[in-house]
Amino acid sequence: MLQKVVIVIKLLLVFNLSASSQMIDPPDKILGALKEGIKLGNDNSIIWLYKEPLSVNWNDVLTYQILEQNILYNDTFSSNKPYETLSIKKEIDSETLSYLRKTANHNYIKKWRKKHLVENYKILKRKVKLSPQNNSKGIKKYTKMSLPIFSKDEQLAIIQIDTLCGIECGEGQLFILKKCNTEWEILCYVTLWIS
Amino acid sequence: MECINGILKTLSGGTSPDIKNLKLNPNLTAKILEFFELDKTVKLTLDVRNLNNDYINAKAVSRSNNEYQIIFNSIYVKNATDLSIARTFIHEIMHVYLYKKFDRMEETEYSDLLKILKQSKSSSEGFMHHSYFADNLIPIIADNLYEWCRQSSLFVSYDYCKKMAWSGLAGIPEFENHPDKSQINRINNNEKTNNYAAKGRNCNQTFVGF
Repeated sequence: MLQKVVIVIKLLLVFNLSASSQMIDPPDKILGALKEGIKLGNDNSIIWLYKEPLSVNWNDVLTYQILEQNILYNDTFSSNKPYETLSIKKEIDSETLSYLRKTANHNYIKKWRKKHLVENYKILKRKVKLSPQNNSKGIKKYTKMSLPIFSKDEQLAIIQIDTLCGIECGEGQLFILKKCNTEWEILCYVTLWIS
Repeated sequence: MECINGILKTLSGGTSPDIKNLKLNPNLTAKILEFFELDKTVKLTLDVRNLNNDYINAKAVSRSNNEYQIIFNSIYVKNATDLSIARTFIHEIMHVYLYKKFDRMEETEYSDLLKILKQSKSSSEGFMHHSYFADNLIPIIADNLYEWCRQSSLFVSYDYCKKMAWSGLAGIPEFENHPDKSQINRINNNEKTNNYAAKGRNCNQTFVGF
C-alpha cells in the first residue's frame, strides 16, 4: 500500500515538473534584438551567456525613477543621428508598470539553452576567471540575462542584462523592447549600474 | 563601517566646490562630495551588500537623474585594505559624477563626452565612462588617492597611487596597451586581498550597511 502511495506521489511530481518545463519560452526574436544591444566596444566577438538567468528584483527595479525620465534612444549608437533621448513614460503607462510589477516574478526557465539564443551567443556553463590566461576559452567577458517580462498586451518587454568584464569592470542595463508588427525591436535602454 | 566613514571623511575634506574645473582640479572628490552636499536635489547614498560576485568591488547605481547609490560588495570590504577601499570609492564617485554629467549632456560643455560615446558606437555606458576615465581622470584619481594617503599617514609613492588609479579599466584600449598593465593588476590584487605585498592597512569590519 505504502509503495503505491509513493509511486503516485512520484508520478504527480513528474507531471508537475514536466508541466512547468512546457511553459512558454521567451520569443527568440527578443534575444535577436538584444544581440545588437549588448555588444561592448566595437568588437563583434562571441557573447558568452551564463547559463542561469539573472535574478532581478523587478519590484525594486521597476520603481527606479529613471524609468520615468528621458533615457537613451536606441538609434544613438547605430546611426549618425544626433544624441537623442526618449521619454519612456510615454511608452510605459502606470497601468502597464503596475501589471509588470505584479507578474514580474515568473521563473519559467531554469537555464538558458542554445535553442533560446541567436548565432553569436554561447552558453557559459560555469563561471570562469575573466582573464584569457586563466581560462581555456580565452573568455574576457560574459553576460547574465534575466528572463523577459511582458506587458499585458504583450507588445512591450523588459529585460535586464548584466555584463561582467573583469575586476571592477561590469554594468547592468535595462532594455525596453517593443513589438512592431511581428518583430521585436529595442526601443531604448537605460544603464542601471556601472562598476 | 568606521573604517569606510573615516575614508570618506578624509576624502571630503576639500575646499569650495567648482564642478566645472574637472580637468584642472586635483581635489575633485572633495568637490564632488561638496557638490552633492550643496545641491539638495541630488541624493547620494552609500550601502554595503553582498553582491554575490567576486569581481565587483562596488557599483554605482543610477536610480534617477537625481538619485544615486554606491554599493560596496561586503566580501570585498571584508578583505580589502583601506587604500583599496579609498581607491574604489574615488572610482565609483567618478561614475556618479559622469552620470550627472551625462544627464546634462544637452548642455554644450559636455560635448567631449558625447564625442566619446559616438566614437565608441557602443551601447555600453560603462565603456564610455571608462574611456573618459582613461583620457581625463587618471591623474585626478591618483592625486586624490595620494592626498588621502598623505592625510591618513600612509606613505606610498605617487607612482603607486597612479598605478592603482588604472584599476577597473579592463577592456579599454589605453589600459590593455598600458606598458605596466601586469604590475597594475598585481598591485590592485594585493590591495584587494590585503596580502603580504599590500601597502594599505587592514580595513576588516563587519558591515551591515550605513
